[in-house]
Amino acid sequence: MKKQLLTLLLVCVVGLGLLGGSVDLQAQPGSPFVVPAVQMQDGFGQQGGSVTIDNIDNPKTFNPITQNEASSSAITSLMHEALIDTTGQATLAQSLDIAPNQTTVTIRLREGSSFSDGEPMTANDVVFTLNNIIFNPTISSTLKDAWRVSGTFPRVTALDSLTVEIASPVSFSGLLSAIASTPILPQHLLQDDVDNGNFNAAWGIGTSPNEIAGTGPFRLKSFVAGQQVALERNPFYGKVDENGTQLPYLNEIILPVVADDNVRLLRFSNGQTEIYPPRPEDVPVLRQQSAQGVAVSVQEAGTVDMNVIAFNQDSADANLQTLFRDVRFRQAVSFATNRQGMISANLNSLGEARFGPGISPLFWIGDDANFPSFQFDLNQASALLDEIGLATGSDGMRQFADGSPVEFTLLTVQGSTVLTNDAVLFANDLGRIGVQVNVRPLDLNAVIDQLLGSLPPQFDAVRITINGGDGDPNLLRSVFESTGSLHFWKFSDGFGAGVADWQNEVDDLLEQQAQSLDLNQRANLLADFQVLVAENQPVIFLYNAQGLQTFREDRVGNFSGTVENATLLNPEILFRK
Amino acid sequence: MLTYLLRRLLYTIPLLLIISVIVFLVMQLSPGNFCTTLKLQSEQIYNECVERTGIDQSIWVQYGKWIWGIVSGFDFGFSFQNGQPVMTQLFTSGTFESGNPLVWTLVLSFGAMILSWLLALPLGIYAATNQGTWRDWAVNVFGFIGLSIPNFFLAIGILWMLVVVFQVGTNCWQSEQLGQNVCLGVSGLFDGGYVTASWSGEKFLNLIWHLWPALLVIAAANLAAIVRYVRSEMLNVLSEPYVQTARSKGLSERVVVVKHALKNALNPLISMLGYWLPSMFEGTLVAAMILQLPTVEGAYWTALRQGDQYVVMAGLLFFSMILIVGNLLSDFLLAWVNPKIRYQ
Repeated sequence: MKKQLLTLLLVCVVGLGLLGGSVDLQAQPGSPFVVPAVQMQDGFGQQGGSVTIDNIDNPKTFNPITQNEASSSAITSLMHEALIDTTGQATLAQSLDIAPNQTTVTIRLREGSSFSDGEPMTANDVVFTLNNIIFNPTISSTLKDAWRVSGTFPRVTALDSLTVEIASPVSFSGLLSAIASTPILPQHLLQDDVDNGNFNAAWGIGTSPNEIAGTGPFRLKSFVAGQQVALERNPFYGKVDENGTQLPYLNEIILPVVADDNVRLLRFSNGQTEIYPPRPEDVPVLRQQSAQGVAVSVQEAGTVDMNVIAFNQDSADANLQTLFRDVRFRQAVSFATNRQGMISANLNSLGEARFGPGISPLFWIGDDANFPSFQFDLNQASALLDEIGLATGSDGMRQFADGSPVEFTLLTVQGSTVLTNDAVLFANDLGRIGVQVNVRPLDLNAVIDQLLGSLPPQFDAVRITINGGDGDPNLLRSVFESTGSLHFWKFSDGFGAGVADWQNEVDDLLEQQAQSLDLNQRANLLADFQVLVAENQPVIFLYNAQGLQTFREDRVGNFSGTVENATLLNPEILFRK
Repeated sequence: MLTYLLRRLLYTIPLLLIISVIVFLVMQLSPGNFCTTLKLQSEQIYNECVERTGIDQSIWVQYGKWIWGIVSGFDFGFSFQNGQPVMTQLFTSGTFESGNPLVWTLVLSFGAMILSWLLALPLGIYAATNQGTWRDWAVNVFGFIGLSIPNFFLAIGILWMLVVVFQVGTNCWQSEQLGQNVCLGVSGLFDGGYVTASWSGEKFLNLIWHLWPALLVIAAANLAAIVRYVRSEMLNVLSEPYVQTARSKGLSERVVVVKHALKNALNPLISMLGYWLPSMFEGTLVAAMILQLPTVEGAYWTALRQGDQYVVMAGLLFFSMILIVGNLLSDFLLAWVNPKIRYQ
């Protein structure tokens, strides 16, 4: 059974700085984008061959705008590209000009860019994608949040067939990130669907491959439900290597549908797949296969995702509400949490403790020496509980002033071993400082209902994972701002209670950084934000897993990893040995 | 007899209706709905999902519309997952080359049924004719083990043996049809390019390679039980006086067992074929989950995990129909093998 994680998803965009002036994106008019050789750690590849990677489920759609889960994004990410990518490279854009008032970006498209059906990509396609699809109120997409600034969307205009102007009402630091996260779609194939109000169902899994086109390195060849998706190289893709060889190198990427974790591992061990994002417990087994060409790569733990335990600060129980709102209690809990124990038990020691919010590596200061730290220390935890006035009863358990026990329920998701193990270890740790935690695994839908289904929320505490995409700070606003739609632990002004001073400060910092176009100033604001959040532990930050990748180095060259276990990085330079 | 058949078929309609109401109500009892997880992304996406699927309507409106769709146009609704019609999702997606879920379900269910009887008959006869010996015990122990091992464990165990012990992936050859090197794989029905390749001897052999673990897993679910039934029936018949008479006439033991005893022992077992039918479909569900088989059961299991309401409902009606047809088949086979039984 597929492992279900309670994961709060944020759209994948990055923290690119927006600076005035012109951004050179290999501005050779009419020439394709040349991928620098330095990016190819295994050198130039040769065209041909295929690579097989198991997909965790049938894709639900081939529409990159409406897709909202990993089995679909693993495929759409290979078929579509944005004007620029997260590192500032661009297949489709030739130059970016940022106006002195820093609210307008003029994008010159690369001449000769085409969709995978051979039709040229023009400024009209960009305008169509943004004005008619992303900003269309009848079309649902998580990309909307990335583009919205001061409650509205930028104005997008085609100046000529190859030039687009994007004008934001105010200066907006996330503008380049938004551009980098938005695939450009073909007007000639989707105009009718938009006009008929049918876009949300467009490019469903029954669509013929020749009715789908994108600007990515691959295009759809075939899909057989329950069996596999086959992608073939896009012959019109606009990148070449320094030798002038057109990319992608691979002829095909095959994605068989394999839902079971153990079967995916066995298939990789059997040589049926070339790339496999392993679970931590798979790593010892896979390392033993190095003689068969299996390479296990362990990278630094990510700085973006957040594995947390959150308390409902608007709990209906007055004692718990007061307790959960008390920063000393949350700090005590943070001290009492044995993060290394969780990392050993759940991640096979392949993880790192975290004490603050996840954010793009560009702004991450979580490993600075002066960053607030809550190393496992039961004495300090007990001292803080004493300071709050939670007396210890004859049974060794803490009590409120009215004599009732300090006890709460911690929700986890039924079927998720990691979340439930964490919860049990956490309950055990807190038991040692006299706090009774009752772990209650529930169906995923039931947990979400308790978190977001009513106001105020119904839960006491929950173990949840917040998936931060690529960590764009603007996306953190929905989680950490007091009025954010995903600020599920509340204690905000929505319930007649005053917002804590530190929370007001967080709100201000996040607003200021959103409008700051100076990268240094933004970094300073975000550093203050991280410290403030870490000091106050609105949620208890636990750990992050190290990035794990396994691939067959005897068969695959230039493999640089996957994102969120599904999306291939740099698929265009991957080659078959 | 025809009247009886028609009456039995007519009885299934209210039965299916009752089943569908109960299933629909049970599905509504579970917390949240198909769209609930989208709340973690944004309220707008959640609202759009609710509007698209219509799950905010009262359960009776939803149920009424669904039933009316079936009655008026054989429309079983659509999949919340991908908007496809339920019938496509469950039964007919795929091409001639790749096969469709219904075809694979029938191939696997009936294939496993044939396999289980082919294995069970000789084993049951062998156990009966060696009653009380260590051979009889061996078959019994084998039966108990087969009965005790859960299907999912057997499935993953077979895959593990193939990959880790026998290292089947190291057996590779150059495929003339695909023009590439192909190695033996596990799970699914085909290796790589064969999924969409046109039918050929090469593709058929590849299918057989992938089918046998699935058939074995599904057949094992019933093998032990059938062995025990065969043994028991054979023991009953072998103790009949006419068998003693045959022996006393000097007939060889082989003729006595095969010609006289087996024929009569099989009569009641034939009637049980119908009862095994739903059981085989059930076994296919577990095999589909682990072995990644693109069957009706596989599509149903995915829908069940994701709360894809109408696909689950249609799937359950399908399995109910199999159960009903299986029972009906049993009744008719019973009348066929025993002329004393007549239905009115």
